[in-house]
Amino acid sequence: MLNVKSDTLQAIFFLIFSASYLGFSLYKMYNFVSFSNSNPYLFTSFVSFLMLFCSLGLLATPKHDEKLSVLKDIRKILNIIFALFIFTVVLELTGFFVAGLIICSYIAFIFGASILKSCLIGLGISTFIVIIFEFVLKISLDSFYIFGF
Amino acid sequence: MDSFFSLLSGFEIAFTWQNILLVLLGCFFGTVIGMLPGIGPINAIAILFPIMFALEIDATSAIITFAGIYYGAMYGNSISSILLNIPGTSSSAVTAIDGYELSKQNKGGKALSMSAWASFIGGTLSIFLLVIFAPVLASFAISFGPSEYFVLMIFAFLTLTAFSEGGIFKAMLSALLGISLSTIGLDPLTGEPRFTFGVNEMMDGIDFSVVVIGMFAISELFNVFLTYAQEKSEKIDSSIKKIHSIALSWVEMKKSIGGILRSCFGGFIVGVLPGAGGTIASFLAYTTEKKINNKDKTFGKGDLRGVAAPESANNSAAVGSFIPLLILGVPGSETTAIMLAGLVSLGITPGPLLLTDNPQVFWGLAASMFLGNLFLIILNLPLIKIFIKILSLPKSVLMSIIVILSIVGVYSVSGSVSDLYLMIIFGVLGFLMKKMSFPLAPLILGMVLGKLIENNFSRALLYNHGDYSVFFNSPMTIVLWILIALSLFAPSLLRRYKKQK
Repeated sequence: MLNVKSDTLQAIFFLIFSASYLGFSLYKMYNFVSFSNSNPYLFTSFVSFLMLFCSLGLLATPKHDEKLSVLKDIRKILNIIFALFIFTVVLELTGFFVAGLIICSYIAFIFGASILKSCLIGLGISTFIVIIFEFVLKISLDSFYIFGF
Repeated sequence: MDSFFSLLSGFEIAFTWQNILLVLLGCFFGTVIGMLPGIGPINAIAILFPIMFALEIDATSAIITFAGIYYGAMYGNSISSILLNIPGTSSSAVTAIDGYELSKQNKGGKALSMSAWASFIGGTLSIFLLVIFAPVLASFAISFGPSEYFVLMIFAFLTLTAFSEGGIFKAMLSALLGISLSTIGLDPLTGEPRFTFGVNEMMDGIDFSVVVIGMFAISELFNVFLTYAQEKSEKIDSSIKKIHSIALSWVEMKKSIGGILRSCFGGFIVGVLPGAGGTIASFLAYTTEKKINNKDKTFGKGDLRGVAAPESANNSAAVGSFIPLLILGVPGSETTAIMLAGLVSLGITPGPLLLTDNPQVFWGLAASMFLGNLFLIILNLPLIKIFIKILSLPKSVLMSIIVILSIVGVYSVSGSVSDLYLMIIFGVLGFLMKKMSFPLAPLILGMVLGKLIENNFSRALLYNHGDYSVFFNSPMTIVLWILIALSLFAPSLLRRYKKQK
């Protein structure tokens, strides 16, 4: 299992990232219409150079030996990430009310509520939010998109 | 005297019905948010800020509400620390040492009462300090040019990174990542699209609230899910029984008042320093009081003075942190960074000119703080049992509310689904960064200050025909560079000196 707690791996990642960022900034800077102090890539080149310097610093500092598998943690939360993405798709298709009901029920369910209780929590919260935002505060959330208004 | 009359005009602003209600709501929600572990004022402000924007609430009322949440959270923090030994945020961790001991001795009510009074006294006195020192600093900072601002912001970053967990390189990488994110979109000087990779939605840059809500609220959902456990409700019921009487005797108050006053002044100074904040203020206050007053070795075993000092200090630091935010335009913590972003998007630019251009914002806020502290003492003492009941709210309901409010916070302003996708991506990024001990505060500060740093950097160079010596040749910049060098090297030199000793 990938031991991402090891600072070396993190430093290598940042080293590659900042080197690419610096390379891209420098390339864009020299290819910009005019090379002056108002060049939009001058500042980003400085920032990326500092990032490269800090990555080298991270690489050079003593390492922590703690083992912690981030991939394992990511796998555990993958269901929530998918649920949030699905929520966004549902929001586009049906509006906020249905999408809110689904995501709230799901979150309640994974935090230990029974199926019936989860549905009730989802329905309650989603209805409350829609009433408060759409009707009291008059902030549009496209709540009932599926019904055409 | 001018300050006194300006403060009176501030009371006129604070005492409108709308602002009184907003202060009350801010204090109430701040207290609740502060009590809940893992959710701090930053989440509340990040979620509320787009809603305020959508409701077209003016900048003064918005900052009054945010401030109410901020210092309300400082009060709320201590409740879960004292009764459950679970600090809402790190600034009340030290309160738990003596507070929880008192709670175990069935003196939880006294500890809560002392915490509320110390917070009230510390908070109120520090507002006087704010009113006195802010105009003085503003008259001094008015002479700052772009080069001074550029170096000042570097100083703010370095002090913040020096105090961050995970080491200075990780904190600096986090800050630089934040600055890099702020450069996405159209360049303000030339109009050149940068790092947009042809995506039209990226032309306006990444919205600040999307990053904050993703990194703090959504990543917290992932964290809470991983550490989810259902052992709390019994503990809370037994904690309520430990509250007993909340009345403090005159002797107890007299014993603690010296510490409260000392911690108030110390906390205020720490709060003014960028990056230091409530956590360091409360730890400093506790260790100072322990050194002065621990002759009978009662600290750590349930001493009311061990609750009073850190509580006075962290409230005072919260007030002090408004000085760099409002007068210099340089926030010192992630919470004040969000407030800065909020003020800028509402058309107010904090800085030395704020007191002349928009005095109502500063004086309205200062006056509302007096009102807020009064509300908090009224709310906290009699309603403590109701507040503590909120802690027993099931995670299933609480997390559902947080997720839906986060989504509303992002979606209500832009109405764009692409912002929601970005929010999820930043949520995962925030989760990974927390797991790998990268502090998030420098990233948020970098994102807020990135554009300002770049503007000041470019303007300083433009005014001086590309001469880089502009960053080193004024007395103020030299002083700031010396401070930067000190903040970078002093901790390691001190450590070496201590080792040799």
